[in-house]
Amino acid sequence: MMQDRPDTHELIEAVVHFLEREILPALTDPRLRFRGLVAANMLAVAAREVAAGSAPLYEEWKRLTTLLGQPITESPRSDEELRQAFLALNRDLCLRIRAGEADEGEWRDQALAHVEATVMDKLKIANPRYLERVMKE
Amino acid sequence: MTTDELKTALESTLVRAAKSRVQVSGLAQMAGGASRELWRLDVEVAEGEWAGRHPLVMQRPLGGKIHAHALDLKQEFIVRQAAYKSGLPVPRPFWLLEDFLGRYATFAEQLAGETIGRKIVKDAQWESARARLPTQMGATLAAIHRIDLNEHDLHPVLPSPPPGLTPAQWHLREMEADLDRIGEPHPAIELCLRWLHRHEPPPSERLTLVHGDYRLGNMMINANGLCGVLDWEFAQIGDPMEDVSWGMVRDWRFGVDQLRYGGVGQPEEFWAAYQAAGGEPIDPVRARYWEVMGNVRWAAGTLNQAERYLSGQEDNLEFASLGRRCAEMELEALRLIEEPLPSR
Repeated sequence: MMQDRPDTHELIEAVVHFLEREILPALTDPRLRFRGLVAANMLAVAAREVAAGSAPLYEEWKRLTTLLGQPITESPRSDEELRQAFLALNRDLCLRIRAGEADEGEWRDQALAHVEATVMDKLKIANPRYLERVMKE
Repeated sequence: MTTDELKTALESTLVRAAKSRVQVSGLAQMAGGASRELWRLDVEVAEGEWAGRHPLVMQRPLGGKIHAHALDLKQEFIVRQAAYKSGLPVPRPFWLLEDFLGRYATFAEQLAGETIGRKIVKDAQWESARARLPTQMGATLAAIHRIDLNEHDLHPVLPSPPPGLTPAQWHLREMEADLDRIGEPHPAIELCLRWLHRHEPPPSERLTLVHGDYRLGNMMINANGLCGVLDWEFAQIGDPMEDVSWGMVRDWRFGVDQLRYGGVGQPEEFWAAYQAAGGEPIDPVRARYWEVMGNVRWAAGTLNQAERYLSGQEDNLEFASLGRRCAEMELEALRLIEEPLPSR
């Protein structure tokens, strides 16, 4: 069923704006104010994640299967299947790194490039201002 | 329990510690940590060695423990006393109650000043104070590392690396165990852990008391700069370079990225003060190693704290938020391991 607007992203944004414009300025207890800021930030992360949709997830999944030499036979059919496939692939990658396979050589470069791209994609959602600041250096 | 009831309980319990009649006023809860409850109070002691009016901070434990090796309040009190007796700028420790309403309670001098890192690095009010910090923090850290473990009988109190492991290997093993327990795969952290295994320099010749969280946020600052080193709960016996490089971790620059020591200065200035005050000579390659270690430990730390929320141990918004901050430390650590090592 198609829900009416505001859509998920718009709902979250509306609450973020309400917190920032009306609630936070009214808080005088510094401790509560800090937690209010943290809360507004967390909602803003969720808003960016919803707006980005599942495209970055499928990108990472493609990169991972290539890196691990596991040819794509069938794309995951649901978000839950994708999540499970992700956990399995990333566990595999972690085991291979711990076993020393990414210590040096060409596969190290590939693994490093993939991992760094993934971390940057996470930051585009979690903290784009931080990412921008660090990349400018 | 109401604040009034707490005040009454304090007045009757503190009589024995202060060996005098005492009056408690101004009791109020302060912003505390995740594992402690903090209260401010004024204690008026009628007579004896503690006679006088003292603004104090009382700490009481909460259920949680941030880290398996974190000290409890009694252990931390012993370490703070050692630091105070060694002439370090720490709030004067007053009393330890082993059973105050069924829990430990410790009392120490209440210092006036600012602890919030982002204010100290940015507010105009702290401009001249923060200019002094790299030097003051360097000299004070050297003094911490000179505290005599035997004289103050600290060996039984402090966690230390298991036999056969260097402090670095100990931390790596703990992080790997934490990651396995949490069960969320983090390839970026794993790559950095491998780098840390393969690039470990020889440990410092002398293992010392390590503060364990030596950075802005845990320093009390007044107009003259550093006036108190706080939060000793992560103290341990370890490699002094761990403390030296911890303040370089990007998150502890509080947004002032270009000042690579704590957002207040350059590491060279801090190192010079550390060495001048008797700290071991700083090798930039070892400092870099421990900077990577610091970023990776804080990355793993965010996962640990998020896990405490996710598993239902702590209903704490900040813990929940930390899970999404892990990538910040991961990016910094990855960038550092890709850089060429500094020249000696």
